[in-house]
Amino acid sequence: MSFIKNISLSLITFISVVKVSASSALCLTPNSHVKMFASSFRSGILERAQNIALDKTNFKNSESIHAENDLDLINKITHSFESGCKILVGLYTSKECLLIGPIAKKNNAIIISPTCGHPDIEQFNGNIFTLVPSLETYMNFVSKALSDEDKKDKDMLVIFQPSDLFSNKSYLLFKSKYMGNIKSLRLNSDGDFYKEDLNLLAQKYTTIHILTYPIVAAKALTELNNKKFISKDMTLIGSSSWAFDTTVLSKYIDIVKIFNRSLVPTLMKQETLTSSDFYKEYSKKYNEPPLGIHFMGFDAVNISKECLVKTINKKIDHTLIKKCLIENKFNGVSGKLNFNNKTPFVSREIYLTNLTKMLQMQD
Amino acid sequence: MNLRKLILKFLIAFSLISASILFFSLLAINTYTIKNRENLESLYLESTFEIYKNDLVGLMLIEDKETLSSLLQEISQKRLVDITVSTEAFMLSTTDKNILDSSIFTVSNGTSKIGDVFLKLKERRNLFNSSKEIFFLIFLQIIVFLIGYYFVTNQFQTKIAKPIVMLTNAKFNDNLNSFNMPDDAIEEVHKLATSIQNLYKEIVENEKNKTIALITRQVAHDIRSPLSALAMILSTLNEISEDKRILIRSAVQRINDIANDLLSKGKTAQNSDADINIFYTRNSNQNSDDCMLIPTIDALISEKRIQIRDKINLEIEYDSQKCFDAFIKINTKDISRVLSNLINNSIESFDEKGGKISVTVQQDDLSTLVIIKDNGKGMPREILEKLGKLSISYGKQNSESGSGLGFMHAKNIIEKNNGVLKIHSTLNKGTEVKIIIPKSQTPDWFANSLNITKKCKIFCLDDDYSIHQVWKRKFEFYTNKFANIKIFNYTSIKEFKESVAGLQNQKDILYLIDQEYIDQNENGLQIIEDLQIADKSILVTSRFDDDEIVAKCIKLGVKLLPKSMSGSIPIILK
Repeated sequence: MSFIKNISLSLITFISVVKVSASSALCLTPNSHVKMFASSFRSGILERAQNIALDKTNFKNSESIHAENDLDLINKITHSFESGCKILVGLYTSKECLLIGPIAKKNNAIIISPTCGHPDIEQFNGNIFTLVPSLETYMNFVSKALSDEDKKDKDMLVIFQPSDLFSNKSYLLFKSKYMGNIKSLRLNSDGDFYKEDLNLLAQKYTTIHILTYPIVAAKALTELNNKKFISKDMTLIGSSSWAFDTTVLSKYIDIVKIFNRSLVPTLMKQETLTSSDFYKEYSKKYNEPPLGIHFMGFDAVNISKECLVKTINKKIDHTLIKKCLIENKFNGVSGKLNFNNKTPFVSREIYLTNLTKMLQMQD
Repeated sequence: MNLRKLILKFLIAFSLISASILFFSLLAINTYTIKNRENLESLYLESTFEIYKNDLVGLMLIEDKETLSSLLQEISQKRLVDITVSTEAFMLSTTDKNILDSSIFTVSNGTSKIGDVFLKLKERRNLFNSSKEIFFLIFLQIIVFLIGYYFVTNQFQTKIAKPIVMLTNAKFNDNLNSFNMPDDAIEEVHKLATSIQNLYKEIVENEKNKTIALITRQVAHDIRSPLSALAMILSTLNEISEDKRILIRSAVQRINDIANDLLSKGKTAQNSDADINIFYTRNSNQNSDDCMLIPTIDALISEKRIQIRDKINLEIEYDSQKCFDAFIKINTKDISRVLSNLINNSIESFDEKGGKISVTVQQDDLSTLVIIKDNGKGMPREILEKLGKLSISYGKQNSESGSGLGFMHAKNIIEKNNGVLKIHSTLNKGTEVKIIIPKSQTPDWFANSLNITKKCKIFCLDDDYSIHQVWKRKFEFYTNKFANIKIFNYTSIKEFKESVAGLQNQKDILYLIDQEYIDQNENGLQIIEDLQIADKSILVTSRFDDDEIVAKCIKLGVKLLPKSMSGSIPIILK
């Protein structure tokens, strides 16, 4: 049942991102004169992580603000920044970070994002801190890992979604870094292949590399399986947003199992996650296991809280928070996290994980 | 026209109608669509913008042209629109066409304008440029038509046509009686098959009856000529005694009656396919009359006894005590034939060992009961239940009869005359047939008693001496002790006339006069009429069943007594 709930939650979340674009904002008031403002595109996910993180603290008078779309999000966050909020926890998508980045910069506010990884965030260094390494770093790791597979002389089929900011950027970065031959198969936002690209399926490939959201990828995999395109001698690798969560793919494990190997570069070790207190507390509170992005959200809130606590009774200034973030090493439930003043992206480990085993553990 | 063609016609008509309805529906939809197209187009474009607004706004603000361009292409393909995005910094479009006539949607963040989105339908669609859809619908209808045709014809073929053809073939091949309708045939065809089978059986039976009737008619015709010769010769036979003559005459008469009856029925049957039962009963109704039962049975028993005289161990007992004046409401010929058939059945129920047949007559105030009982081989119950139908007989496989006509005829005749025929039989023990017939009133012309006085003089005229003996023994009791009755017997008409001359006015005289006299010119009724002694005479004759004689008796007021009943008529002494 937990698996189905996870799937459902992921699906709902995905739909909210792609179709409805519902957003939420959370404003916390640790004391009478200090406000911590958090925002999330994936509202329910951040709220649950925040609830776990703040349950045992003296943060009270919390405030949650929900945004209907990007414009609504911009307006509400602008209003909050102008009202004195200096720390923003949330913003899951790169698009959100890129939209809110200029506003944060203008208002000297700090954004602590659980998952924004777009390289263009660099321009907001000092205002945005994200718990993921840069997409460039990530894709560099992926291309290096695949190049090491000694199959770079064979064609790789790369599946991506040009109309999605993160997927498109992931593809462009991978393409620029990978040394082997690649053929690109495009998907639309419904997960359907571009008709003009279907002729690519007449050829055999050693590796299928998917660079889009897992739920879209699941539909693409199903279609490929229906076309008898997948064979035992193939390798499957899912990167880009697969780094944060692949739970939805548990339903398609039979297709994943067909591949000779299935890999996913992740930011978290599955074994570490399931043994954490957060995992147990979350499972007990919500009667289902947390997703990968819950861990990221939990760490983002905790880091914010930690820095906020260290600056308590002082006049809140973004420089104090920034200093706290840069000078401290954080040991989060998702892994060890280190920030510096040169880049908004965190310095953390990337693991090349066996997808099949990971899905079996998640199930 | 066969069934397939009929169904094809029906389906073509149905298809044409449905195609017409489809066409006019499409036309109506198209007309409505054209009428409301602008509004619909506007709503469609507005909804398209709303669906992608958030994605568009984000990318417009971020100014990621590459991703935005891909998104525009995706929107264009999925929504079949041309889309152009314009901001202060850039403009992206999926078309080179003029965008001035597009729907414009302005995007702002509430305080300042971000840009414009232009949306326009790629093509205006209507019924007549949507030929693919039309052809698809027509193709779909053809497919539905073919499937429908196959299904309907298959069903009709399996459930109706094929069973009917099988039924027809079975009839022509004369296998109708053993024909079994397939289970998947519809109920109505099953009923039709059953009806045809029943009808076929009736036709076969009628054909059989027709054949029987033809044979019957031929037999009747062939019998008549020798009968005539026999009757002529009989009138010239002087050397045989009267009782034998009576018997022969009676037998000849009965054969003649039967021949006439057969001829009549044969004609009726040949000219009509009517049910055999009707054919028999109608004929007997036409000749319905009262019957003097005892002499009829007497004659019949006599005939049967002669018939079985070669069968040493077979005897017929007859008891008609207390039924002297039994008259029943039935034609004499018919009851005679009925009883003959039934007695024949009894006779045929014996093997060489023989047995006994008893015929008993009883009566009460309303009805007369005739019981024919034998201790022959009897019949099993299943045969008893079917008796009364044609072709049902038992134990006659080796005899010339056996059509079942005898019993069926008997039952029909009796029931048609408001009587009842009951049969009870036990296998290997025997059979008992009871006939109950309503009584009819004793006619005035019938002599049901001899009314005499103590001084009565009885003049008996008969050329048969045996009759003289009968009367002598009958009146013997009255001639000695109780009365002074005198009997005068004559064989010669001349002597008789001479003796009674001058006695016409005297009382206490009874004349018992025979009707027929060998080698004498007059008959009994002529003598009575001539002597004017009708009120004192009883015509004692074997020809009691002759309608002319009876009519003459009625006319003259002469009582009539069957000669065979001479011994049993009661005497009333006044």
